[in-house]
Amino acid sequence: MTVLGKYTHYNTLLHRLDPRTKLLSLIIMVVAILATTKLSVYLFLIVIVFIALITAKIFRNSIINIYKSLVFMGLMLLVFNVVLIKTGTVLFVIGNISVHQNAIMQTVFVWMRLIMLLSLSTLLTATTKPLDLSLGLEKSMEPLKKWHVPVNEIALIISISLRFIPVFATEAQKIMKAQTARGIDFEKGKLNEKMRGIVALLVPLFVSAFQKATDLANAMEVRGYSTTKPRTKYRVLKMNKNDFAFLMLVLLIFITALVLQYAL
Amino acid sequence: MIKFENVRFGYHETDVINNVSFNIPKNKYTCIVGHNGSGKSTIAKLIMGLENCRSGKIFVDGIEVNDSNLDVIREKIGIVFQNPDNQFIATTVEDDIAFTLENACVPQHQMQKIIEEYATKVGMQQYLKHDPEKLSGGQKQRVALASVLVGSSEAIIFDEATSMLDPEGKQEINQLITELKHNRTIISITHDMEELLNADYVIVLEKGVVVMEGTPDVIFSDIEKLQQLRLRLPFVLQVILEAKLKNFNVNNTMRIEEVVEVLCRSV
Ligand SMILES: Nc1ncnc2c1ncn2[C@@H]1O[C@H](COP(=O)(O)OP(=O)(O)O)[C@@H](O)[C@H]1O
Ligand SMILES: [Mg+2]
Repeated sequence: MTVLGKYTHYNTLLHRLDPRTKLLSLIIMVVAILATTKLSVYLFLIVIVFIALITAKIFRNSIINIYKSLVFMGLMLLVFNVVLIKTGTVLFVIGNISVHQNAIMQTVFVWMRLIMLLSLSTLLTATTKPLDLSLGLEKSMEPLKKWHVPVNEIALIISISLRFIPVFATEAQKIMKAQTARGIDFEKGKLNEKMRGIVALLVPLFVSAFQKATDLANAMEVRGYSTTKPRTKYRVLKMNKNDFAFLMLVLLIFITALVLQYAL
Repeated sequence: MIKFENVRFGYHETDVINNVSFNIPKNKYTCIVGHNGSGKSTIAKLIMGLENCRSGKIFVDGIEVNDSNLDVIREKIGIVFQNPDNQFIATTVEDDIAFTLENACVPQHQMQKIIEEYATKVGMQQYLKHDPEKLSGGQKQRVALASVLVGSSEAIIFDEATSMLDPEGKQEINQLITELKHNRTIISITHDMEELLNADYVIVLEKGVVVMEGTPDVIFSDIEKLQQLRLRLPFVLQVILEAKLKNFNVNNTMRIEEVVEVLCRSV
């Protein structure tokens, strides 16, 4: 299950960067992709993205699977565009459908955009530990505190959720085994039998979740946690010269993309 | 150190703690025993100020527990709960210990040293970067203990902290408790009657009422009452009881060696 690229540990430059650097770079790159429309710019950007993927050793992971899931979408898009877009020179005619140049170009553009956006977000999540990511988000959202956004609490909620996802996965498996032993079949059966199975899984899971939540709240409270009190922070993020160099590079790429798009 | 005065409490209309008074001595090892549902955990929650009593008073070191001084109470007393998973808050061992320090506003540059010191105390110094998924139940409870110790030094409550552990994990935690006993009030809520033999003071709870209270000598001198309460006797006492039935002349004692000696002499 690699929906957005699970964190895999390698010691590459991208892995070592500050999560805030990566978040900011992602935003800059996304803006660059969305603000440009020329094939030359896209070719330039896609090369950059692939270089980044290779440096971060992402190609060893299952990014290929992610691309595969794009193939079907791309084909659908192609069919729609061929039928709907009738501008530009006619390239060829199949039966009574004429295929125009713009239909092809449009599809290629959207497809390249998707590949780049997916690759970039994978790049972020595959090179940053979930905890660091939530810490980076917390720090970057700090200014929002002025408008009473509970930034620290949100970050704590994210990190506790991350902590309990595997716990609930184990719990669900245990419940399924226990219910199977009581005669509930989770795999076969008609729709209403399947529904029974789902209820038999969800009800105990919710009961256990509420128990866990109460216990956890108690444990946090007796250890002195309170949302109204100030707290210090154990984890501090430090940007070093690598981060600044990297950001400069990203900015340079951004400017180059804009120059290619608008000045040439 | 902890004093209950005519305390009543209930989650719904009915009282689950019924006019309870007792006194837990300072720097001693006190056990609270009783069947499931007798109100042991509720007592722990009342001490920690997680629930407020309906009537009566609770004092910790002479300070009455109420909503205005919870911080003081929680600096004095810490608690390790039963379920190892449900009290591990952060995603790694070091972050979990740090959570307590963050709440206490300890300056960031001092944290690393303190974390290492307390992790070493519970023998988890090699696991600082580990996440809870890779730890055994016993290890998680050791981390919980470190996280509690780092914030509350004077007294620790263990609410059946070993009941979900395998024998090895139990052994580890009990070992740590023995090490902590010096200069600290230990309150152990337990099912294990053997543990009572090592206690300095025992409180027996039944349906929200204190039915027995005193040193283990006092408690175990009234075997009839213990049997009446359907509490399983420690192994030594079972042996003594059987021996008496067979007309051996043994005294009530808690030392198995003495019993063995008497029995050996008589055969
Ligand atoms: N959160 C709660 N809400 C309602 N009733 C509770 C709650 N916790 C415990 N009880 C009830 O209070 C009584 C005492 O429970 P507890 O203190 O957990 O007992 P023990 O720890 O000795 O097993 C039980 O009857 C239990 O059902
Ligand atoms: Mg209990």
